[in-house]
Amino acid sequence: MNADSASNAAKLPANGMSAIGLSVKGLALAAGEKQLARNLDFAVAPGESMRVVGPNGAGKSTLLAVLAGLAPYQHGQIQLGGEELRSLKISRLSTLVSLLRQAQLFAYPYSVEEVFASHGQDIDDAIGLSMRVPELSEKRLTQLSGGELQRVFLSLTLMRNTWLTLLDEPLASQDDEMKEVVTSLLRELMLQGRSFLVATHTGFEEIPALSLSGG
Amino acid sequence: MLAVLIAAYIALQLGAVYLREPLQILTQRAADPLAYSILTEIRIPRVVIAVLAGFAIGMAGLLAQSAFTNPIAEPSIIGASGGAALGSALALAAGAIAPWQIGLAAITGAGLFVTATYLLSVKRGQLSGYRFIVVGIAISAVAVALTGFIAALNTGSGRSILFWTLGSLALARPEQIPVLAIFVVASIALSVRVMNQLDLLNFGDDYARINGIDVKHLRARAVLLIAVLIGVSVSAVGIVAFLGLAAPHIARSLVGYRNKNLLLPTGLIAALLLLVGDTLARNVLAPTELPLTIFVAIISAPILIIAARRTVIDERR
Repeated sequence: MNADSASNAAKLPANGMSAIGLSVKGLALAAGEKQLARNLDFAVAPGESMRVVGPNGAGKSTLLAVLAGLAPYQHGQIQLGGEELRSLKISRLSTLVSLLRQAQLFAYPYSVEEVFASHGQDIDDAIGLSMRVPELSEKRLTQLSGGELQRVFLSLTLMRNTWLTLLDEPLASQDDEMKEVVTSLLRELMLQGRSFLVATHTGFEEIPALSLSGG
Repeated sequence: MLAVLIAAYIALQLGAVYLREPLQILTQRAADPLAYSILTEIRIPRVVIAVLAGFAIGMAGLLAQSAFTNPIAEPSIIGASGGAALGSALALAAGAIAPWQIGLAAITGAGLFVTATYLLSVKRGQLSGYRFIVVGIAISAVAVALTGFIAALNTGSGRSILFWTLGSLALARPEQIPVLAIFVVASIALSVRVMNQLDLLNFGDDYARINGIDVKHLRARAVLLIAVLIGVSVSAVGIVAFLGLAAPHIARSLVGYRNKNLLLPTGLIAALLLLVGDTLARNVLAPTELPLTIFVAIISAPILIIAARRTVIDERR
């Protein structure tokens, strides 16, 4: 699972995902007491991608957290590869779905190199190279800018090569040049057959939108 | 590693009776039977126990700081040491003598008290680092108070029970070595495989879950390992506060942050500090023995401060 994960990407759909993909029916989202969305219905077939749009607080991040198995859902169905999400073991779910959150926390200031080693990933992988992560390898996490930190964890998320990748505002902290780099990398991975659900305010107009209105 | 061996050699020389050539005495038993028995019956066991117990305490500190992602977590703050002392005290008061009986009682005590700290600091499934430390200090205080209570009730063995709360190798016996060695080696073997998983906890529980880690199971395993390591070390040398806090930080300033790379250096640094601390404790006012904790703290503190100043925790670009 190292230098060859870029070539793995060409052989997708990865990890034995059947043609069923993701299907969401009648899902209700809530953040604490607040009701965010009701009766959400959508489906993502293998090789398809969607962007999730809507105003701040509409529940975009909550939806991604629910799909990654981090937040419970009371109403509705979420099926991944034909299996109900809540019945999937965490080890199995993590082979199907990966998630990049908006902010990445850490307690100890590992170096970027140490972070990749802990994940068993090669920093000089094609994905890392295209996002210019290797040049950060000596730096500690406390020494990175917001955009650099986001690129480190975006690389790690993409390198996991899951069938479905959930990205929460992957362009938010990037400058214009890196926005283009990240966008074209994601487009390339979509063309190779990987599925993405991207919560975003801008970009990716070519893929269908799932609109959350909030309230 | 070399530093530990050198310190061990010096520790064998020093004592109420100075032995200039420990290795020669060992190979020529007949030449000086008294010196030979001082070495084999008192000093060598003491050095071996100091190294094993030090390694165990350092490793437990590393596991605590990583599993609970808190740089000030350590066995004597999260309830492990207090629980182990209480378990030992109860076993002694009940008349137990064998090292494995006292060791098992200490492991049970440490396990129960760390588990209590953990369960009381989790709220709605979320572990708060702040709450964990505050609850741990409270739980530790209860354990130490109960240990004192048992000591006061048992005037006969009370003195040796009190020793557990201060830390000392004065009562170290060769019979304790097998129990310590077995549990320390087993704990290392069980820790190695989860070191990368502990690294991922650094990025938050949710992050670890997204990466397929069963966080509850991982923490339960860490708690079990901490209980075993602290149980066997406390039953042999008592509570040595601060060592489990200091050793991982000193190691991080040398080898970085990955748990896999920290395990051995942390254990060896703690072993070295405990060994040097004990050698000072029994030589500074020889033949009177002073509490171990005093010297471990005095030598660890400056090194910890230097280590903290070397690391880049707060440095921004």
